[in-house]
Amino acid sequence: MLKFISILTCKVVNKLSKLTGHEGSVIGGYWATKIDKKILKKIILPKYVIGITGSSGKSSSTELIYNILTKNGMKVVYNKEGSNTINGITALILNNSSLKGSLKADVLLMELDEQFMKKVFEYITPTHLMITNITRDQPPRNSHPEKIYNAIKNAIPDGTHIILNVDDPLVNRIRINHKGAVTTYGIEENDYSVKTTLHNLDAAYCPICHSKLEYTFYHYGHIGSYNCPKYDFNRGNPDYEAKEIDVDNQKIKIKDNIVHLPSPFLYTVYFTTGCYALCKALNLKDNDILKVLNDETIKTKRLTIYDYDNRKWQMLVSKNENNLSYKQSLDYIKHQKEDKTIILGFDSSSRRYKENDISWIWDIDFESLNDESVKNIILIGKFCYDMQLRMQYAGIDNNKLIIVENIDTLGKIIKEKTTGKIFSMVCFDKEIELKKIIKEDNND
Amino acid sequence: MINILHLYYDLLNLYGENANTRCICEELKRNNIKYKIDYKSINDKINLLDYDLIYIGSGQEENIKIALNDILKRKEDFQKYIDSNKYLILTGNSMILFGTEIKTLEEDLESLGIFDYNTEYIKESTFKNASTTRIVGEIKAHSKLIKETIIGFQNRCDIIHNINSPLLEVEEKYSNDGTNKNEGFKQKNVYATHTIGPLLIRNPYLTDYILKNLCKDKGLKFKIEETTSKKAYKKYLENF
Repeated sequence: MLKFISILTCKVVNKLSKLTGHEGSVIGGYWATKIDKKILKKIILPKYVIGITGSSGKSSSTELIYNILTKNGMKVVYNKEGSNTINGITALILNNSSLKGSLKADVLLMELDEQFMKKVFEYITPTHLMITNITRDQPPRNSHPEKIYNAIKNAIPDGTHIILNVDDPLVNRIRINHKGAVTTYGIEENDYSVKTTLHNLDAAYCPICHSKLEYTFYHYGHIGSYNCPKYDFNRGNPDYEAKEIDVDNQKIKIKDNIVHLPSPFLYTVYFTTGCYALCKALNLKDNDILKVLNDETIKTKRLTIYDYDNRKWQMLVSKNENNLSYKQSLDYIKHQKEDKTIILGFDSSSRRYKENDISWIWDIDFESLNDESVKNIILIGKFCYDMQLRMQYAGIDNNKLIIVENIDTLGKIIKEKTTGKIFSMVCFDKEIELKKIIKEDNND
Repeated sequence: MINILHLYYDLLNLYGENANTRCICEELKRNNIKYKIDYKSINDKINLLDYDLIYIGSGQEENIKIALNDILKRKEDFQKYIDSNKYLILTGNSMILFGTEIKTLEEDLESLGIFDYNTEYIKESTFKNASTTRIVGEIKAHSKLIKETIIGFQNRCDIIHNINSPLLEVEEKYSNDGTNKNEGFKQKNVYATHTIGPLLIRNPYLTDYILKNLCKDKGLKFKIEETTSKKAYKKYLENF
């Protein structure tokens, strides 16, 4: 009876919340657990309960898995609105359940926050869990990678089939002592790989014997191909590996099959390969996965490019506080062959909290912007001088740097002082201002 | 010639801390002062007394333990190094290595014992607004060494007891143990603070102070100039 009331409450609160103009993705779950704390344990779940977590790439992976499974005729319930807290997940499950307490779907798919995952797994046991990467990310919330690793490791129940990105030693480490099936994925050396040892800040040592790991190459940060000299801990050969990687032309090969990438970024190779591995773990056939991955509508997902002053202007989102995501977007810009002007900047480090730590800009390899094709770098936002200092340390020619404190002058400066295609990578608040400039100038 | 050592560069290096030694080198370069920097880590053969300035950054708890095992073998060398008034800059939790013990949540670890303070990992909330297991947030503080405010960020899980010669006095959160405003540690030429990240980049006046004194000790002249880092520092205080 309690179960019935709890589910009903969740559904009603959700409807009411939506009627009053709210999103309704969390509040129903809150009230339902107030009525019956163990409500989630009482729900009959479908055959597949899938979780996807990691520092970055969760949303893209979840969306792609959703597409593949639904286009193969499965009914999938997933947290599209991105509410990945315990109340969000509770609401997701109850809103899609019958009043008798059975989730009406073939698959429950959840994008999970690394820190909240343990709370969710106290009530429901995942059949499959995919882990994308563990990196420096939002320090005020996540402290540091070791804490994220511990949060994930301690949350995984015995018996869960884990799907791991083995290029990341912090993720690969999760399989040590795991009682359950393991599927691994990784990507081969490619155009974006580097040989430097400068940027491995987070996984330089073997977690078992503390010998220094030997890397043959890095994709970015601590992610790459490594071996413990004593063979205590190795990347090995992944079960599913992206080969013949051509990021710019959006093509890779997995198990001899040509796979198209939905966008031309290195992280796209990762989430596509990860999703392939996960689908195989769910016993999907190669052709059923490929027919979706290589479908035109997914393949041609375009990036937003504006026209401005007879030039092209492409906007990317600044991944503040995640040095490795930020770096991958920079790499994308650098890989575009034409001459370019780059706009960078932000007013605050995060939209989530008030802390404005800017340490992360010193973990990003801005040195890579020392390239003939980069004609100008415009720095905007409240931290423009910190960014200027960072660029100076990166060895970028002072003549290329333009500081714009007054955003109203930006349009004129772009037109008069810069050349090449425009790439902007700024935070959300600044992006709104840039869009306004484009709109107003194009209307004049 | 100034010899610099960045110790445990690949283990203790949270959030942009590698920029601290870059800053020192850059400032010396600006002054046309010759320098050499070495990057060393656990198991490396090191003669500490070859150096004029050693920097150690902040680390994740597991890495601090690995570094502790190594640094214990260098106790005598560090004692001599500090006694000879050489420069040691410690950010984040690296200062806990130099106290008497570290009580983690699982075990009590003996540390170098060069200084009298002792460390405890937090079990319950020591500061308002901090989560139980971590102290994470911005700080503003003052130092007797310079008149300018020190800015920075902390991300730690320890409190340190028994420090009577702090480097800083905090204006906004978080002191060593929550009982007073003492933050960090200063003795001879040891400069230690819980602040993590590019401390020297973000606090150019503190950097000037330390490098001016270091250069003076070596009979070298250090010029103080208006640099971009000072512009960035002033802008930050204006905005936040």
